Amino acid sequence: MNSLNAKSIIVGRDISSTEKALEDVPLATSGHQVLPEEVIALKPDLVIIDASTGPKAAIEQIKSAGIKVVQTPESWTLADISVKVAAVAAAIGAPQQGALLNAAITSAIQRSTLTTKTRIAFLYLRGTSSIYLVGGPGSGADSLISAIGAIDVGAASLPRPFNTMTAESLATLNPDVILVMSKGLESVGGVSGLLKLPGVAQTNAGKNHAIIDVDDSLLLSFGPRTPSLVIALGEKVSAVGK
Amino acid sequence: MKKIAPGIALVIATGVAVYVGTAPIDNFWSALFVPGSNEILWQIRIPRVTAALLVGACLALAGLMAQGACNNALAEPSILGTTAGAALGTVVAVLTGLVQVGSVGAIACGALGALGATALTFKLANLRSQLSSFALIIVGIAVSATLTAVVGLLSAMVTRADARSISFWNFGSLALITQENLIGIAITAVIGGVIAWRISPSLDRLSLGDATAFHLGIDVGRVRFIALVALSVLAGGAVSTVGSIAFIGLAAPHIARFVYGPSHRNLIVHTAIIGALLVVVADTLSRSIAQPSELPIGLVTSLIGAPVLIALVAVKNNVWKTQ
Repeated sequence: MNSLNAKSIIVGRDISSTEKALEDVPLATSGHQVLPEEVIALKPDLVIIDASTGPKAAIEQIKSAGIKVVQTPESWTLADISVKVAAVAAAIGAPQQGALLNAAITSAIQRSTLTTKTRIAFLYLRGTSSIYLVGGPGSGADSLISAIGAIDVGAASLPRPFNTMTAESLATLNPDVILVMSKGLESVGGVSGLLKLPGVAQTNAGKNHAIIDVDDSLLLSFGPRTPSLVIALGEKVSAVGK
Repeated sequence: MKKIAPGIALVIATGVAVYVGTAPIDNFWSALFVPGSNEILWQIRIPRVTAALLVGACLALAGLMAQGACNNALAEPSILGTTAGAALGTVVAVLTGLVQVGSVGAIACGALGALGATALTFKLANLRSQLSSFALIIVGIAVSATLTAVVGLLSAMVTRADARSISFWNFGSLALITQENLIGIAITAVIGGVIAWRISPSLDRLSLGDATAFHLGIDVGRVRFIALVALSVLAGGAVSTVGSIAFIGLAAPHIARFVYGPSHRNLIVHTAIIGALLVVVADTLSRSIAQPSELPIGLVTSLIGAPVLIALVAVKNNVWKTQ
């Protein structure tokens, strides 16, 4: 919405809308749970959701209050962004702005290809719960990594979108660069904590401290902020690879 | 043959454990005999298998000390509250910033927690000056449940990676073992093993009952206290490094007792070998069955240990008394 230059008509947001420009917009969720009372109190004409927005009862309450609810397609890969942008633009009656934004997104993504085939592994870390996963095909990160012209070593050889990270499996993947979410990295004690996890020190990424962290709410958001992320990611990978 | 069978099985199981893994090792045999030649083999797999051997031996000996000190077939570190105490001691020390999981300091705190919890179980079970087996087991289960809940509360309230998760403390895991952790567990195994070896003749006499042991010249209270110190050191070292691994402390001494008889000096060696064997086999299975994922080792040890124990009881249902 913000990227469609429609910030002025936004009256509420969810917790994952963390752009600085939206800081003053009231939150209408608790965690990722929609609070129907908060939403109704904001008196919106339209509520935009996707299939993951819930709980369902809250959405039903909003609808029964006479508020129009539009469900847009979910977005899990780069290819999904244009469909979602078009759906949101159509919902607010601004299809032309949607088309312009999509053109800008496509152009930005095309500019970000690396010259070398860097091998990258995406790790999903929640150290406080002892959750250590390696991204595989369909993790979302695979489409970002392929967009910058790098190789997602997890997607190339692991069976599921998210796979348990074992010391030997990571050492075998031997990525040149490890990509993580910022809070995930923090949860294992930062770069030094990550390097202490068995298997990490044995990879090229571990040996060269080639760790890249990206804001949790941005990495797999696949929206209008993604193109700038792809460009920044390409630059960071080039920098740590040198 | 009966005497050396577990030892042979342990050598074979260790060989298989070192050979089997997610990562293929190029020129395995030449890499095996040149230390440091292959990073995955020497920095990941061999330290993990070594940890499995040491932890298995420690937990098994801890179980033997618990049973010997209490003269009770059901006494086991997790039933007496010892493992929960070790987990609590370690978590508190980590959260206060004193130590890191796997360090010698963490092991010392785990051992203190284990000793405190075991002493608490004995104190509460003896409130009416009638220390019955029944009271010991019931109170032990209650103390264990309470301390486990406190560990869970602390883990939930203070979300810090270095304090590990509640599933780690409840089910155990060798996945986070590093070469540095081996020093602490090895020290624990040596200290606990030496103490256990030295008091084993006294534990033989204690098995005849407190009164008989007293008339045979045994200072019952002192022997029991030393055995509980050995139990706490052994359980503290294992639990504070890899969490609680179920059934080893109960199953290994019973299997050894069934095969080799009641002499504690004899049992110490065989119990340690059987405990090491159980954990190495369980760890190999836990990292092989669902590759590239791993199963919690505590689930696998229960699945192996429980049927073995039931089979032994089915064959000879008074394992504790007949030898």
